Amino acid sequence: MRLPVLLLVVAVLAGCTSGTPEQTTLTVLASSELADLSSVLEDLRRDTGVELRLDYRGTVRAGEELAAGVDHDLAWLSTNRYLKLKNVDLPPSATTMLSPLVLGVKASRAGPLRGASWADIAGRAAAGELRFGMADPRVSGSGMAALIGVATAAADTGAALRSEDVTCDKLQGFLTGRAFGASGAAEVVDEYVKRQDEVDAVVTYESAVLSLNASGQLREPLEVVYPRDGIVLSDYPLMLLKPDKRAAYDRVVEWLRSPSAQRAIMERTSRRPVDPQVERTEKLREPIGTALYFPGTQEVVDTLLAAYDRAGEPGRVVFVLDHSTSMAGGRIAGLREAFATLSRAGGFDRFRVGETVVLVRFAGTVMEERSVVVRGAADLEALAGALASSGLADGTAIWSALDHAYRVVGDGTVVLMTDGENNAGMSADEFLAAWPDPPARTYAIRFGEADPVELDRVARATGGRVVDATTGSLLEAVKEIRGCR
Amino acid sequence: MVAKSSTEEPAFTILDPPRSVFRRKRFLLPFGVSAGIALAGAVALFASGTVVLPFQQITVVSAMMASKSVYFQDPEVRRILMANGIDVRVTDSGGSREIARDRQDRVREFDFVMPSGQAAGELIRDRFGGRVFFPFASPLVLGAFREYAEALEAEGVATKQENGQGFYYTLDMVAFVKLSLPDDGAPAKTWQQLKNKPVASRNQIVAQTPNPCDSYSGSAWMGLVAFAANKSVAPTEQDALPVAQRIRPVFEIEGLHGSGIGTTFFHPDGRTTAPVGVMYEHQYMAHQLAEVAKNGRPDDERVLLYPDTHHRTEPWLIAFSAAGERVGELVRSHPDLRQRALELGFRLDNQDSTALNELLAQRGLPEPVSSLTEGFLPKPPELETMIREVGRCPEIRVPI
Repeated sequence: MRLPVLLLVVAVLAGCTSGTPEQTTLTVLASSELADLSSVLEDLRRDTGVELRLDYRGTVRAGEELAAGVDHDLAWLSTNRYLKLKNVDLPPSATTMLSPLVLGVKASRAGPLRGASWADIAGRAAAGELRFGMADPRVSGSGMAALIGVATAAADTGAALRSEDVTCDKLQGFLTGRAFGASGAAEVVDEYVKRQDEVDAVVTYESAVLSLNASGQLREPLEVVYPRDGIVLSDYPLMLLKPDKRAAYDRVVEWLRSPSAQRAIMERTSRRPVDPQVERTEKLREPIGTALYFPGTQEVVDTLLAAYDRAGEPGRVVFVLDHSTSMAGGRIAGLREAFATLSRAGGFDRFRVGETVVLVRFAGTVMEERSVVVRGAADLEALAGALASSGLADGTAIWSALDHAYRVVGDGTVVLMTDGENNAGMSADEFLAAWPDPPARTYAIRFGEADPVELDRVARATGGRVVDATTGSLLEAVKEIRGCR
Repeated sequence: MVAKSSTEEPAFTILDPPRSVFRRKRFLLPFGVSAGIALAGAVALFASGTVVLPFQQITVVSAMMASKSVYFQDPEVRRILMANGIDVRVTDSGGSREIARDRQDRVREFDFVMPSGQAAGELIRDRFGGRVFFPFASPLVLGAFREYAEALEAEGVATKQENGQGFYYTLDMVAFVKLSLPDDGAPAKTWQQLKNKPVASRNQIVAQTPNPCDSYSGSAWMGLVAFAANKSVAPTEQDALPVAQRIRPVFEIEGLHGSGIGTTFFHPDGRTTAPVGVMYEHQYMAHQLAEVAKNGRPDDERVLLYPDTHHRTEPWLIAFSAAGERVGELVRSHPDLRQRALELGFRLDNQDSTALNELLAQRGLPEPVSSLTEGFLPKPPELETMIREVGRCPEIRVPI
């Protein structure tokens, strides 16, 4: 009796114990927001014996480090897109969880932004009605994703941004609203907590906004706004950098993708599980709209970063506006309407806080010069009505008006709008003799019978061009060149 | 009895304590019950083949593949293989064509590799040798969310299959490619610009695809697009480059290609990441079979578009060792593994060519119709030329 019982005990025990898992530690280059995973990683270590030691970086910065060479065993970033753009050979990679980039807006300010597009957000930011924190796109994936979201929506081609789509800078309106920066997605959230009484919103991941709301650190909860015309979704790939760590890596991936770990990630960090079988919490069931196509070249990203670096620069634009009698009727109405729109609701292209707008009205001579420094709603309203009762006069002195503009332009750009041919003041030759090296980039918008040949010559010499508004609306023509420098 | 007598007579000390431990009722009853349960459990587990670890030699087999890892990571497949003494450990290559690129020259260190299609399979075999098994096949298709398929249908670009109960459409490839690459050189239409049944998306119309450089599905889809754009002729040596240049804008719409569309499409946020994407039929069928098993009905948000010039992908299992060959033989001939392949949505070889349709019918799913017209891919060197031009990617050496 004793022997078979003992044997059975031994057999059953042998079947049950597989031995404690081998203990090992892996170093991980990780996106900074993954600091919120510490309790999940504790469970991982308990279950698999693998300890992940996370070394935090912004995702964009981490991509640069990886492209330069590898120190860590693994990388765990919000996305591997920035690596792909650097044409790095992608290491083995497993998606672990999802979170879209969103705007977290104070509930009391969120009303007009529900269902907003990037253009709506940019427009409110430009007018000084929306102040937000956003991580530095040179370092952080969340900041870069926001730039790409805004720029792609502004280009509105429906395709991934190409270099030729970003020659004009459409980011400045949006960036006007940036009240503070931070080095990463985690840091920007901390900073928001400190400054929550001064600003309205924070640009970060959905997971960060939901976690912040649950943290008890906010005096006013944030509402999640999913920009409806272009979601950027982070999918947190875990990448194997050192092939000899394969066995432990496989164990970690298998564990992270198990339903219980996916549930733990969702419950503790508000990220969306990748496992469709894991039932999502109500807040994470929210449909998030269409993702934008992500740009395919590093060049585009670099252009956007250059635009980012210009944020906060004052910006000055001189509009040289034809007020000759031939403008009477539809044309002057179109002009007034265009200025009203740019002042009140121009989306990416609207006049923005910090910008100086100079209006030079001319007919046979320069009739008026008016300069508005936009500091807030009152200045925008002043601009909206600036042309409302402007009178018309005889003659068209294009070159004299442009000459005037060059004297006041400073480091800004000039936008000339005319419907006629020069018949007063300086001649083209005199103008060209006076300005052999034009001081400002010049765009001309022509409608009606204006002859573009000489205008085109001048505009091109400055790096600008002539836009034809004969067929389309004046507003569209202005929008086409807003932000072109 | 023993216990009772020992309480009645405290001074009674005949029993040998070590022996008594096992004989006491207090011990025997609970132990007997739990041992019985354990034994029954063990027997049950043995019978199912799950727990044979302590008693059988297990060979660990290393493998590298891309999307076909769903097969070897399936718990049922793992169980059957384990019962046959095999534990397959899969390394994800990212894309099938990455296997052929093999920057670390370590392909032959794996017991086997499994590229997702024949064109990638040929590249690998020609470069690394190995014994080839052809276990199953799956057509290249587009997965689409229903409103996108209906938009294409309203535009006359897709046609609902007659007995498909609305789950399957046949896609007019020439017309579809024209939406992304209009004849007049205009930019592609966006989904919201469609006249008859637009979708509220400002994105241009294109089938999102994994990078043709890395993935089999991406490269084969590029082949089908080229076939459609080249008057239904596979580009030859002379026109491979010009045709590639012509269709390149189609692949630039998406910009940076995603990876794993065949997985993300089925995520709850699939509509966000890729509402119309290139994938394999098996990925969709596996999803629907699982949905039916779980909810009693298929997922009616997601549908399939079958190109009217079809490409049947044949994953090759290329074995570099005896252990790899053993897996190849099992996968090709073990009835349980073949049955499981069906449940995972694969089509079997010609002997069992209708097996998947029978299984679908059995589970209450409609049977799709693949086009009889094959979309021919260019020959390997031309395909490489085109992939390089379209994807601007590093070259994969093609043996001549």
